[in-house]
Amino acid sequence: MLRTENITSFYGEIQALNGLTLEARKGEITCLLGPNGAGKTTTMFTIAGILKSRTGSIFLEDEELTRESAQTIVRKGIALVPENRLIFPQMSVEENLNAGAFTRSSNDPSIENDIFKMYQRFPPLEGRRNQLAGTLSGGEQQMLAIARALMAKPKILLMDEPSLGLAPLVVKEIFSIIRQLNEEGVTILLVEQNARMALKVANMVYLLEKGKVSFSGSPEEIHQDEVIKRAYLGAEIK
Amino acid sequence: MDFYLNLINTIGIHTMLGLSAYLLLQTGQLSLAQAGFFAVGSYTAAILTVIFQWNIIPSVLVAMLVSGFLAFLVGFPALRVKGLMLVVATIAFSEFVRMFFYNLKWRVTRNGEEIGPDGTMGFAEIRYFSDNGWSNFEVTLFLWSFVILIMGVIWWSDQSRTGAVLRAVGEDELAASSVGINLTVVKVSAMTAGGFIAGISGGLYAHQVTSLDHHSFTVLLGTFAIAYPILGGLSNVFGTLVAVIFIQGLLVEGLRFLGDWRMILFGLLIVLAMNFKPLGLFDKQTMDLIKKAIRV
Repeated sequence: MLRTENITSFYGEIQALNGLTLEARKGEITCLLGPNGAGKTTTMFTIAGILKSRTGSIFLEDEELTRESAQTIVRKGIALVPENRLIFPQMSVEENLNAGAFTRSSNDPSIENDIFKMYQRFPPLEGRRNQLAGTLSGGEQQMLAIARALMAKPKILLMDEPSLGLAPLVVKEIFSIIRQLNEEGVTILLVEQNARMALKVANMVYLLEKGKVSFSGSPEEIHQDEVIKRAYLGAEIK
Repeated sequence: MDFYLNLINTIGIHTMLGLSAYLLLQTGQLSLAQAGFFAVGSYTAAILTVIFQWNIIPSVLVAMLVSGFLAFLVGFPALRVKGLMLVVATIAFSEFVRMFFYNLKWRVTRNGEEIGPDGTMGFAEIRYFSDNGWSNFEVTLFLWSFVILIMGVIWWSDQSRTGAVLRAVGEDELAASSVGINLTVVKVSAMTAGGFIAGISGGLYAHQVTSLDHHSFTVLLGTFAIAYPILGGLSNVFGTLVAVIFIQGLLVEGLRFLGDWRMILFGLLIVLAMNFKPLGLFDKQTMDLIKKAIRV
């Protein structure tokens, strides 16, 4: 569904991606793992069009998006849930959800209905619909960030470290939301530091190192590879 | 009576100046260039009515277009700088404009009298209103019709998606681009709209005060331009109006007997506002209270 071929991205003169090729298949959860500085977030930014790749290409269902602007990419069906949530803190929950639909026509009557659906999916948000988003708990903010991205009706959801800075119980809740979204047919590209949780939900895993894919395979294959298992999960995991 | 009409005119002009910074502040751009756009508007409109003997309405409209176009040009390099650096860059622009008019000499002779901008001596022959027999009251009505029009447009923007997009950019640029907002378009448009409004306000100012002097367009004026919307809050246009009435009407005019000491009060006011009402006097909280009070 989503393919990147040999992309290289830079921050000024610093090269963050060095010929990265990966694919996220339709209906699956594809997970990017890797140490800090491996280029996970950069990959997300490049796919979302916030950074531009100097080489290679990005395709969504055979349509090339490499040179498109960030707002065109959202319109084409790629929505990013950024790292650290990045909701609009001084806006209410409802205004944040409306912001997620900025790429849709403002008199689209289905927007209101979609907001209603988000409240059904994320009940804690409904009670806080008029509250400023910055006053929500970390878990609620993450739900809001996911809901806001879903308001754009994406074909694929890019999630950058949704478990970052959340309590273990809340992390579990967020992952059950991810799994549930996937069961409903949403294709997901997930970046995680929490390798154990990620391997439980992923269909396909890419390990990133220094801006390149160093390994790709199913979670089972990772469990079979002793070296990788030790590096990412600790040796004692069965 | 004339004193009060003049004060009302000053309040109207400063409200427009404040509103020219309002949209920019919503997008998170702290610009001190508004005094520069205001100066361009006032000189442009005055040159058109004095030297070219145009009617005031097309003159103000051309002043608006010239300032807006200049703001559009400033908007692009401004995209690359943020926060303090944008403040410094816009001060530089504003001073550049001021120095340009400080040196601008364009004298023409009409009916045996020399008229036009005279460099350091200023531009003193802007007598459109008195030459055409406008009463002070008519001037005030004319000026305030622009104020009301501009307030109306921005009020509409605040209620619509336009305002939400501006505020989204101001809150978090990365989040805004991840919901599909084109930052370049939004920030440059806000800058341009700010230039349009500052141009109108400058054009009207020139004819109200009848003489221009580069000293009127210093950084202090640019500071006032951003102080009004910051003090009044960025959730609705009336905050800016109230802040102008408070600062121009009460602090500058009402406390004139205190002399320069009132500038200390001005500083104190900013400190107090930042501590107790960091989002402005008319933030969401206050508005909700007012709405509740009206309903009861």
